[in-house]
Amino acid sequence: MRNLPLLSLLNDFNAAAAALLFYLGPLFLGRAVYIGYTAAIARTKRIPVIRHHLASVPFLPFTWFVFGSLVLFISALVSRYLLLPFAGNAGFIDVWQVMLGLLFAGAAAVNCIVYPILPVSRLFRFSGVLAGVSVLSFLGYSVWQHFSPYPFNWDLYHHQTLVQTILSGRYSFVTSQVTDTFIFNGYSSLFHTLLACAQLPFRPEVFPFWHWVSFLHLITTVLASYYIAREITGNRLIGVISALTGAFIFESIVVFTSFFLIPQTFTSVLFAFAVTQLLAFRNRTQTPALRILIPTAMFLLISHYVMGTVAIAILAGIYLYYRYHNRVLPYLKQLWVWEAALLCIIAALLVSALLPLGFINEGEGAAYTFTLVDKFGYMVRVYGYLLLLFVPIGIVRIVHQRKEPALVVLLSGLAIFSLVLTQLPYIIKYYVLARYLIHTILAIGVYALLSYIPYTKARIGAVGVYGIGLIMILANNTLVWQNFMWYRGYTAQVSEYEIEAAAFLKKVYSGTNTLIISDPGTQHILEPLSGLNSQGGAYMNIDSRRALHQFHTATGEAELREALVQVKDTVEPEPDTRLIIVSGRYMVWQNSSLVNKENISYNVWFPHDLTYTDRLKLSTFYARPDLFQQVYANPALVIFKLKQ
Amino acid sequence: MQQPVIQIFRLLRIDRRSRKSRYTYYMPRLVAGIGSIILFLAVLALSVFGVETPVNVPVRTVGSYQIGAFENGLSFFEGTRGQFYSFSPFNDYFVYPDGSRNAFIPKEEVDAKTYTSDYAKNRPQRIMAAVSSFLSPMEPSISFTPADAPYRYTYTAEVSGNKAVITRTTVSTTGPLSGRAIGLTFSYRETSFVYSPGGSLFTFQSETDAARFTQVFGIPLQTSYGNLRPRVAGNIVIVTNTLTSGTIVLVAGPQQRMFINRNTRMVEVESSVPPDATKLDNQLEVYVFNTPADALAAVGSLRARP
Repeated sequence: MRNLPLLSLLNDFNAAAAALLFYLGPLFLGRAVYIGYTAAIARTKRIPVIRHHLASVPFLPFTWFVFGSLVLFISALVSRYLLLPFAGNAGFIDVWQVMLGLLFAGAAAVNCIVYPILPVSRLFRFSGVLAGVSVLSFLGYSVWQHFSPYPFNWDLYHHQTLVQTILSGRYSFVTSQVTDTFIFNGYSSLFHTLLACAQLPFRPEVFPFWHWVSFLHLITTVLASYYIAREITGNRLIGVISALTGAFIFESIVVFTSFFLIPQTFTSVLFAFAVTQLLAFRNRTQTPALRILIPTAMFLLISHYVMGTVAIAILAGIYLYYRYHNRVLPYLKQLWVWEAALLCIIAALLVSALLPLGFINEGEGAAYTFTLVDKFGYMVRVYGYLLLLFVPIGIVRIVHQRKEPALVVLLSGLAIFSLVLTQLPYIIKYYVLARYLIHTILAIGVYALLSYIPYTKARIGAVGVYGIGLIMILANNTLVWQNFMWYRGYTAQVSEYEIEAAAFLKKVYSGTNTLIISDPGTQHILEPLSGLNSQGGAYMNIDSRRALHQFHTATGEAELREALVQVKDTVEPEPDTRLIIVSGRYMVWQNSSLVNKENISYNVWFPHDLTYTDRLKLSTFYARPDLFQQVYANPALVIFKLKQ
Repeated sequence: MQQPVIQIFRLLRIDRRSRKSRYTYYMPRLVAGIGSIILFLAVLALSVFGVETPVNVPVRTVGSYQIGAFENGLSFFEGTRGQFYSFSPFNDYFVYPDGSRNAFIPKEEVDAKTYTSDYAKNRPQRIMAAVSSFLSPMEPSISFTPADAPYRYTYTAEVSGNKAVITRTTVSTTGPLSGRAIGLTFSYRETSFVYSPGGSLFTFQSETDAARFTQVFGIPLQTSYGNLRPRVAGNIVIVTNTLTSGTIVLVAGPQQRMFINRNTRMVEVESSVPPDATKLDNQLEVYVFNTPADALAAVGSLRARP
């Protein structure tokens, strides 16, 4: 039996502490801010602050997290745009650190004064749920990582690059102004600000940190799955079924909700908690508080503009439905409304297939435009026939029982799901939002069959069997995704040789103005691991791609030098040192077609060592000692310094 | 007959003193309960049955290479580079007393696909193979049965670190195995340099190619173009593919004879067939090293093996 990679990572205290701080920091700060915020409102309404604070809002920790995250983000923006110009020689990090110190000291004072955090009985209940969810998450994550010591989240590299750039003192609301590894501003730097805040005091190793933070993210997604289903149905067993589904179902294409922590998945968890909170308000016959919803909507929007907009639309729909319930309900009972909705879905499917939308996010967007047949294939990979068989049963059950929260979720879930079915670029990403709602419907479907079992233990046993079935699906899904990534005994997107090379670069060139030049995949991996700069990482611009292509075919000294000098970083255009990294990936990339080289969605996703043919090419570097100086070599790559 | 029913009722905590009749109240519940369990399990099984299954499970890694079962036998390959080295019954052969040789599964049968193999597993088997590979490392294995001969050939790879021991088991179901010798083949690609530890190059490369090889790896190779099926002295041969990173070393046992068939691009390892044998195991050790230099450095210790 192999050692579980996750277990070996438990030893890394710094990584664990930093990952915990990513969640607990905003919670801690947010609680204090929320108390202050509530006190300000309570003063006007003459309500005792503590009672008001504890009793009026369900799922308070979620609200604390939203408030805390927003305050951390604002603190970074204030430090950068208001305080830094008056800070003299101090850098952004110096100013922000002082501000963070003050904020957390103030939060500590408020949190100590306003006590307890939650009633003890609720804390006990929550601890039980958290323990169960953690066990399920550990099982799910262990299956996914069984064959690899390294995380599979390809995006973590460019997010880590941005975090490191923030920690080195460059900050902006706009991600592309911080580093040129971001060419499309799909979100603000909120997510990276939280990561930077977590990494600031501990400076953890990259992979252990991302393992831990991904694992904690998985716990939050499973918690969200549990609570949303339980809140909608009022049934804990349905919550457990939903949690099981959340822990063992992983959309291994484009969506990546549970095992990968990226802005879209981060936004989706908070959306799920926001929906749960909204439904909980209703279940407690309270009016949903706009003072909570508006900051939540702001948070969702800036954490992912596109996903946040859809999330806000869904939340607004649910809110307005509850607000104008009496006026809306008669329409929902009309058959023609449902027929019209169905026609809209069919029309959207037909029109989306005909629209010439290739220009949207050209290249990568076009590569992620899927037909219905493609989507069916991915569904089968991720779910088997679970969705096909249990979701219809769930829908029938919900329609038959006519319970309002379940109907609301059914409508919202199907609305996003029908959007996902359209043939628009990247549209499948929206499933990241639909997932929680669809899993709730699925859990209701599973429970519909189990509800006829009169014996509770038999019912629980059946849920256990359901969990085993899900693990079997995850095992197959894992192998389908990873089976072509075998590299020296494990599956991975990065090799130990690349990690060793990054350690060398960090040791020798850290703190210098050095530009690394290689294929997009190698740059993507080495930039965050070494801390050195590259032109765009995996998102190298077209000029650099063409220059690198010219470099591969150039023969003369002037031509070779000119090609390398043309690779210009947009943020740091004049490096002191240029390092050209000839790796196995680089050679695979260089040997591909020019169309592929210019395509942003084409990457060499997994490690390749140097072959005999690659080494023959290397001899052209060795033949020009006046131009290239070898500074490092291992079986996967050779690093040359371009002589001045 | 009544006793088991009562026991089931007790198991389900059904109160016998209930005012309602056992058959009018409890039986429908029991039937509904059992029915819904069966229905639930059936729907769940169907759901799991629908999942996409991975190909070639199990795959094991041997150094920078992987080994897995394919339609034609066991193959070594390196990632997605498209270079395959195969052990296959389509190439393996019997040598008869008159010197003629016959493939285990002749080309006509391969073309007509009249042989059977356990490569194409059914879906539940594939699902379970994937699940099992998480529980314990499984060895790649594949069996073939020709239509016109009473034999069964099974190829298994036992992997540890950078070493794989390939075992081919030949079983005759009707009587002793025919032939005086039996050949185990390792097919190589035209992009390979195949050479002995002493530097004799067996593949047809030009002098220029050999010189380039020497320039890159610092290992001198002597070309030769005469014999079409030279015998490999020392039973060790090294294979370096120009399009992969690893270097393969094949080590045959002292009782075996190793040849390079330059026509068919195969390393052929022949063993004698004992008289009256109905089952025969033939083995070949395969090692993968990072570079030819690493392979050469290790050859001394490989030679010392019994």
